[in-house]
Amino acid sequence: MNFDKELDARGLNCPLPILRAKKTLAEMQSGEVLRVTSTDPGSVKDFAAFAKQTGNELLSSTESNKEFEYFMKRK
Amino acid sequence: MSSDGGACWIEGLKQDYQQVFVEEWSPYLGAVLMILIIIGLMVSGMFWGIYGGLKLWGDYFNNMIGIGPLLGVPQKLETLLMHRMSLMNMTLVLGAFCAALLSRQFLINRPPKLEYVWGIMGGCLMGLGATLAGGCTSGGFFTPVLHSSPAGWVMWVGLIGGAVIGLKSLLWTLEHVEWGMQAPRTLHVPPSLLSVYPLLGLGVVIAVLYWATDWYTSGNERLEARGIVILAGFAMGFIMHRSRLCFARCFREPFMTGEGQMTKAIILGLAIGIPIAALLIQKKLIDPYLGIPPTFWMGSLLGGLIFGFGMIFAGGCASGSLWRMGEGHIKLWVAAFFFAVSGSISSALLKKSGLMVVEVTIDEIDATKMGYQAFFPVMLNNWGWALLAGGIAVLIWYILVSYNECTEKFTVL
Repeated sequence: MNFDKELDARGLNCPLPILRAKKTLAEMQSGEVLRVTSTDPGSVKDFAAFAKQTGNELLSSTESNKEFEYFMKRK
Repeated sequence: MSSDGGACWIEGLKQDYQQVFVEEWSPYLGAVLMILIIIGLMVSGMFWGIYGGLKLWGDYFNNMIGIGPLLGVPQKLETLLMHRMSLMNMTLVLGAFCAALLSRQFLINRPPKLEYVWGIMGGCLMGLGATLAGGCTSGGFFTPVLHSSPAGWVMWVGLIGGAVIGLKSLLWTLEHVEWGMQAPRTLHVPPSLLSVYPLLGLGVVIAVLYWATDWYTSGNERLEARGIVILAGFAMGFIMHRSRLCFARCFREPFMTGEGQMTKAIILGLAIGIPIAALLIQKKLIDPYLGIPPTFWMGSLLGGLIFGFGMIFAGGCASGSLWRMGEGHIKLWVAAFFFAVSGSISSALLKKSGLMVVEVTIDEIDATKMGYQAFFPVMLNNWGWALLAGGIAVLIWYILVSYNECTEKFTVL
């Protein structure tokens, strides 16, 4: 998937992946896509809830080899 | 049975395994199960706390490196496995470790360098805060609230204040601190090891059950009680991991994203637990003062503020740090270690200064310079008003969280 900006949140546990995603999204334009990588299993639900709460669309949420990858579109 | 029927049967088992041991549980289920364990502990003459066990570990460490005697740390200590809270903390980590193996989520998770700094700072502040409040979010807030003590509610106020200031400070650091943000390489688990994780998890379950049964049936009264503690801690860790139950999240999330599910789960736990505990106290099955710290209100408020701030930087409160240790987060190992050392030092110094020396008053309740053992039914003269006071506080919390979910009036981001 194409993306405009990337955030490496590996090794971080909550609340940091969400806080840093929020900060990064704020620096982006509407419609741009952010890719986030994380190793915290708790981040799956966090990103789903964060998308629902903020209205930024979660385009995909996948896991491979213990790393989680999210694509989020800035509203 | 046809071969298809056999395959279907195995498929069904796999699906159920996935549902129970891999998929995340609802935090509401987690909170209800947590209350059941706490009630079980209460009728066995105990209460749930984490701080006392961590402080004991810190006492051992400070004595080992030689600063214990200088600070006035107690020299004669209960052993790590005989001290009930210490034992329960250990089995809580084991329970979470087991759940993480069964779900194949266990991973040695190394944070970026800066996170170690926050883990150390958060751990130290939590140790100090828990000493002042007579307990962490479990023993200083949750348990006293269940025991109809206003001390828990005063710590609640402090925790909220601390969480807000902590969150704002953490945001500030995101803007201003550049150092140590680079994530280290992820340690990947070899697929062959990953495939035996569930078997290892099963091994842990069997070993813990054997240990608990052995002690419970030993005929020794002290070991018998600790057999229950082993199981309670193990179940608590398992449940907390599966439902990712987290007090830090319960206090933080309404101010962060506005989402209030974890907060409402804790509120549900209190709404079920307070009346049951009240009944047990009225029937004289439990002594409420066992679970009420002598910190109302100064210690609870100050302690809550400091603890709330610390847990935001640490990324977990006491119980939250322990179950994340079981999941493999190195940062939380660091936070818990400094929590333990700081708890031991704070406790020794506050005793030395005379601020936290426990004295028994004429009403036979404990008191320190930081407060006394406050109990609603005594303060308000009857149980009806006491339950009403607890009920109103729970209801106000619920309404604020629900209101905030729709309006995000309290979010600080």
